[in-house]
Amino acid sequence: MTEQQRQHVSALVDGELEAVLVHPTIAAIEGSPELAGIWERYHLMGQALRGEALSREHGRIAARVRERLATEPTPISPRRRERTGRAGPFAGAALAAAAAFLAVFAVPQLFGPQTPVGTPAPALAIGGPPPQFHLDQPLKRWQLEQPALKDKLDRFLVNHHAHAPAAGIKGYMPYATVVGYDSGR
Amino acid sequence: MTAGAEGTHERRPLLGRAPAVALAAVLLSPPAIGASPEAQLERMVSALRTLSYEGTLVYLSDNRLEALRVLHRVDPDGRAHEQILTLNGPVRSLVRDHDQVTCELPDALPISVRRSGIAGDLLRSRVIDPEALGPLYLVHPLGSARVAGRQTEVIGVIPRDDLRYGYRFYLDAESGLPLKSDLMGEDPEPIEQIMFTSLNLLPTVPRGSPEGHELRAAAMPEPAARVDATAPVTDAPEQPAARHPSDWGFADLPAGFEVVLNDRWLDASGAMVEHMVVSDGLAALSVYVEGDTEEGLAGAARMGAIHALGRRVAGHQVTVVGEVPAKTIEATLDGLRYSGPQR
Repeated sequence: MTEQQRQHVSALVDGELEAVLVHPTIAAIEGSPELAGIWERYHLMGQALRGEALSREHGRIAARVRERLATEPTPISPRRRERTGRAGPFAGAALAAAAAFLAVFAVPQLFGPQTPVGTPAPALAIGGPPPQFHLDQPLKRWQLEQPALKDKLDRFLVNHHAHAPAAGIKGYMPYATVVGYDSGR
Repeated sequence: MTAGAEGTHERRPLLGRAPAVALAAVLLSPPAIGASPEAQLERMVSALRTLSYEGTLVYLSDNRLEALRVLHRVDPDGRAHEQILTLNGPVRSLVRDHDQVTCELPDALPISVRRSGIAGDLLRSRVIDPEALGPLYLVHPLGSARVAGRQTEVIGVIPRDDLRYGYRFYLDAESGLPLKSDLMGEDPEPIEQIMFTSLNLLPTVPRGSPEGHELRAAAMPEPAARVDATAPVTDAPEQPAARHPSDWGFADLPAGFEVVLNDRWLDASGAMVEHMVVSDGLAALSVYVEGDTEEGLAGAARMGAIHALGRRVAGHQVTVVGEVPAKTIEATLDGLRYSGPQR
């Protein structure tokens, strides 16, 4: 690990790294446990200074940025830059890398369920509320699909409770079960 | 009227409107303090049969919570009338009037069941028998708890094996009514829970009196949707056949269970259904034997704590249903034997 690499990691954590350096710096973090450790420590220090809940999820940030890059469309470099010759063939890729980096940082929902407890709730996705907020669907009585068979089992059950000795002992309780079980079909 | 009755009168405005004689029903049960757990269970059974009450229940099963409105009225002649109406989801209701039970479930014909005279007599004579239950269940006090704002004594009915469920009954210290009931299996968490969130003890009033109508209307609103009264009612056991020796019996039954009822009746299509009730005195299951039918359960089904199992036996469709563990249902069906003519 060189001092320059350490400075690049620091700049990456602060979001100040030149776009062209994002890709190689990420590659260096992935290839160096020492740099990865620095990357994590810088993040933890930043979180602590900002009074945020501490999370070690940023340990995977490099992989997430790389995953994001893999799904990005091939960048098309502006012609004006081609004419100047100042930007090499990697300029588009660097911009995409920077965009991916910002996207990972700017869209916290990419972290999904790993978001630490206590952080602000992410904005709802366009697709609607998450599954755990969906209203319960009615249970299927008897877990059967055939209505005629379900009806027959219901008849048998009501008849059973009407004749079972326990019905007299338990009063309303067996019948609360019969009608209480949500039977939306 | 006793001093205790006056105290009860003061705490419940509803009772204040009742004729003095009507309070007798509330006072049938002595206080629970100091009573044995077996005596408290007997008191619970008596309270369920003799007291009039209305309230709101919550029912928790399969991680689902339902609210139900319950009205239970006992006429001076001892005839009970009970209504249960769900307050969540599709309207479901059940009316129990002496020996007839009518149940309305969504998208299905009403189910009407009338107990035959034999069955009714048998069942009315049944009470909890601590001596008979002793080898199968341990009845044990579990302490005190507060439910629906009232003090309860908690009685555990603990099975001695895994062939039957257990119970935790939270019995109202004043009336003996079970304000909460936990159905217990092998896991620490209850399989089902039923609990009153509010309870009003009602006076017993003559049926048909203006006050009785008023109480009923206040306690049980009409369902928002009703099945057409002219629709045919499915009369399952409306026509009990004469009892005669059965072609069906059991080579073996789960420990502690015995056949307590063997009956036959004609279903809505006119086909004969043989019905046997098997019970250990507290838990029970029913065995239904039908002729050749295409509408038969093949395999297992479950609804909360209620299990069902169906299969073909000797050319008949056999279905076993009951609030017992699945293994008890299966063992019962395995023990069924047919001794009649081969089909």
